[in-house]
Amino acid sequence: MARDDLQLLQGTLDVLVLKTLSWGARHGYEIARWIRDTTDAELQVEDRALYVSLHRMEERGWLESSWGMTENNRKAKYYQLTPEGRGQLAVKTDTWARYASAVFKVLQTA
Amino acid sequence: MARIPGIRASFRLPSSEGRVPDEVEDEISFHLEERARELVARGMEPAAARAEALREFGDVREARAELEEIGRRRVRQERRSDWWGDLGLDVRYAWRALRRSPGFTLVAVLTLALGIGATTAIYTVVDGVLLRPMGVADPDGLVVLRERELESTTPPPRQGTVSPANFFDWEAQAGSFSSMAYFVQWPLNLTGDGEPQEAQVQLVSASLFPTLGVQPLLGRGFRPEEDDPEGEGVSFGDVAVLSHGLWQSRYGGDPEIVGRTIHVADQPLTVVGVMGPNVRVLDSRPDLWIPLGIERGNRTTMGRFVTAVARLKPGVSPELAEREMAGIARRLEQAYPEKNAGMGIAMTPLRDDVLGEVRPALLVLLGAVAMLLLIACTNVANLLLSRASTRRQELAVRLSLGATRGRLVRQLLTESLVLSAIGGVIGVAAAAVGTRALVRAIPASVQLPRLDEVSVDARVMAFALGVTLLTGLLFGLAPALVASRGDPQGALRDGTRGNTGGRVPMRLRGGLVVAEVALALMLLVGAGLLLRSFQKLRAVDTGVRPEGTLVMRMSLASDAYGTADAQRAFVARLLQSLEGLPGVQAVGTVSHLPLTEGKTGDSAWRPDRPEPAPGQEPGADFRWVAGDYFRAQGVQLVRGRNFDERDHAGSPRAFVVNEALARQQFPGEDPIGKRLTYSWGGERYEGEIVGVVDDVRETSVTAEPAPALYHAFSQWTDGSLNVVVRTAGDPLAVAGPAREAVRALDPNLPVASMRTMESVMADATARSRLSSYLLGGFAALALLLAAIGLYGIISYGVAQRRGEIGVRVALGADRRNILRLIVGQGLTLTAAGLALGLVGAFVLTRLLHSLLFGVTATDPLTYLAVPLVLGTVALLATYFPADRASRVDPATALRGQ
Repeated sequence: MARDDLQLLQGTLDVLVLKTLSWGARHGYEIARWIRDTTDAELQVEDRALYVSLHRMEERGWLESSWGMTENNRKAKYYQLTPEGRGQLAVKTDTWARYASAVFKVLQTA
Repeated sequence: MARIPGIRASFRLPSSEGRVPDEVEDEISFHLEERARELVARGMEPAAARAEALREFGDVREARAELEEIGRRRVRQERRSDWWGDLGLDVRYAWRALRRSPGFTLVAVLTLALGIGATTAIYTVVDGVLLRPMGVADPDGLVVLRERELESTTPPPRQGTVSPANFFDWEAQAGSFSSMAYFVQWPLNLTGDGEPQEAQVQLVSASLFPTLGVQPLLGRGFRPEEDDPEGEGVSFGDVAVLSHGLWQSRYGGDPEIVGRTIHVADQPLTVVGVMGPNVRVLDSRPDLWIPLGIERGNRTTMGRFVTAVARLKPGVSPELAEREMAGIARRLEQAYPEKNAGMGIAMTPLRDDVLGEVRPALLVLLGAVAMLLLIACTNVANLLLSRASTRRQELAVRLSLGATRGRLVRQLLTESLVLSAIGGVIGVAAAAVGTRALVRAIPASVQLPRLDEVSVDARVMAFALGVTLLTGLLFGLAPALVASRGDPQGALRDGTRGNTGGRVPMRLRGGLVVAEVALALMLLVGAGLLLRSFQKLRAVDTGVRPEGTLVMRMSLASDAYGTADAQRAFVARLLQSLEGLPGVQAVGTVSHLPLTEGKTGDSAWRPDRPEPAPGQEPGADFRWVAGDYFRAQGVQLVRGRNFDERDHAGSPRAFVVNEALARQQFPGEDPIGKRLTYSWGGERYEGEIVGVVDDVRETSVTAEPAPALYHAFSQWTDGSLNVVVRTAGDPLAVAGPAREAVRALDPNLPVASMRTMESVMADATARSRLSSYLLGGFAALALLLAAIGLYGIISYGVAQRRGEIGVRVALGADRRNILRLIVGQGLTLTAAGLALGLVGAFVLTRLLHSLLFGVTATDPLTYLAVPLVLGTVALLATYFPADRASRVDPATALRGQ
């Protein structure tokens, strides 16, 4: 995937990650796998972009992280939403829905 | 995947920038391994799986750099906000903890408020008196010059020791100074524009203001020609400069004041300037200034009556100037032996001159109050230690939950700082009020220079803040370190059984009590010495009986009293009218009121002996009295007679002398009927001694009476009068009628300084009283705090050892044994404190030397009595908890806990 596309996707990626975390804490690999599985790998995201997104949102205070153990007893870094992150998810979901419907409308008018 | 919400903090690794790369590395490699594992599970070759995982990930190196950058930024930011957040948390937590134990908090806060408040109050006075500006420009370049007798061991009087004739020679010869000036201060009557008023007038050289480096607020200073009379007999110019105070109080701050005419001693003077509010000449703030106008080069009528100040040239050291002045003095001795034989020049830096006498007293008080603060800190530290041992469980829980020791120390220190901050706020508020009370309580007679400048300002507040913080750290640090010390498991186990706080805290607490007792002892010894000095001062026989006596001052300086006859006539009418007032027993006047005024520095000798060489004349102070002065003042007539009608202006000169003069001139002889020559201002007067009176302490309570000679007012008339009225009852009851009587005789004559002679006496010892009472108060507080401290630790020890005591009782120890055990423990600590304190006191009381009178710094009585008192108080403080311990019921003690 080209670098330009990655940039374009950054905002979208944030919403996807927030959404993933809205069901509970996850580590980075779980999130990557979930996105890959749910989008049937349509949405090809470099894992690197995912981690940048996670760390940026942690810096902004939308996420918080802690080290925990996986079921295979491996140490992993878990992320979970902060109340602020939950608020961001709501805002972004709303924005995304309006954006999508606007784009869709344009595409509908043949 | 087990995750417990809310326990995040315990999992989170401590934030540190150094850990960021490792965490990033761990996270990325975990991802890559998981992905590769999954691909392998789907049947991929391990090597291919790794490659695929890497491909999917993107540029790992770049990712690592990017994530590390974000991570570092986050850690730095978190640390900043954590610190403040934790501080807020700590303060809230401390507040809750303190509210949970209100008794402890109250005692600790009050103790601290007392210590911080007292320290701040005394510092406020020290700040105002010692540290504020001196009211002149660059005070360090100014020196005060006085003439002094080379042989004399006593310091020269503060005011009026320099002969203007010598001053002009100094000015002409000395190269060390850029400028020199002189002044003399007299009370003079200010009349016209409203009530007559006695004003403090400084008669000065025109160079005074430039020398001091002060500028007038309005108008100008004096011009050299205004201080330079062409002819003889001119005593004033015709110009005056007002002080800011007089300008405000008498002339309402009139902006048009320059050019107005005012009347000083009936002399019309034109106001040419007004000085700024902070100007001081040495330690005095006169009401106005007038040029003295002494003719240069006239050496005939020159007594020693001015005080000189000079500004050192830049780069000239005081030592160099002093050497130069000594040389000039020697030359003047040779040039004018009849005036200057045996005279030298004393030079003092202005700052020492103004503050020299009070500095030691103030510094002693500051030291004392610092000790009191230390005792207060010690007490609170002790309280905190007891508390720490009861809080070990709480702290152990926090330690085991992952709090670091540093974090706990910080928490406990925050608690101490919150305590000291509350104490500080209360203490400083009390100090602000207390200082005002203190300043008001200090009578003017303490002659604490610059007392009017004492107030709580920014510097005092900064000091108080510093003291508060320091106090919090001081008393909080040791308990915090002890309390946070390791082994949470032991604490948790012990705690449940309420075991002792461990050996070390007990030893530390013992040490604190020893220190406290030692400090209290030092303060008590200091206070004891000062109180004994004060008591000795009060016991001094001053030669007068002040009870029932009213005194007032007036100066017959106006034109109406221009002749001796007019003055005598007025005084006769005054005496008669005052004698007629109800309750009055005797009335007289005297030129110098005992205990208030300086030596006149004259001399007297026997005309039937060879005349003494110049400079070798026996000194005698000269006073003139009118009416029934000796009886009014309660001065005992020892031999001969009082002055009476026989001594009038036309009769042979008669003297009454004091016993000191009789002893000096007529040892073993009856002085009555003997003749005496008296020398004043270069003139000689011979007369016959008609009476001998008791010695009176004229200059101060501490100065031995000097030979003195009294002249009858009728034969030596001068308008400076102190009227002394002896009454049968309350002297102040006569004050109003006496004032009325004077007004009836002359409505333009101001009556100044009307007060009882008892207050004059009290004023003479006021400084000693103030410092001994203050130090006494501090020492009493120290004693109280030490007793509380001792009581606290013994009670605590008893509570901790209930079990042990129970066992002892069960094993057959009786009440006596238990009492002895506990009291013995208390007395051991006390004895150690006393021994330490005695050594400290022995060293420190040397600093009190200049404040003591009639006792030595090692006064045996004080050194005996103080440990006795302190020991007794300590015994009592120990006895009560010991008594409680001895009543322990072994069964409950062993079961209970």
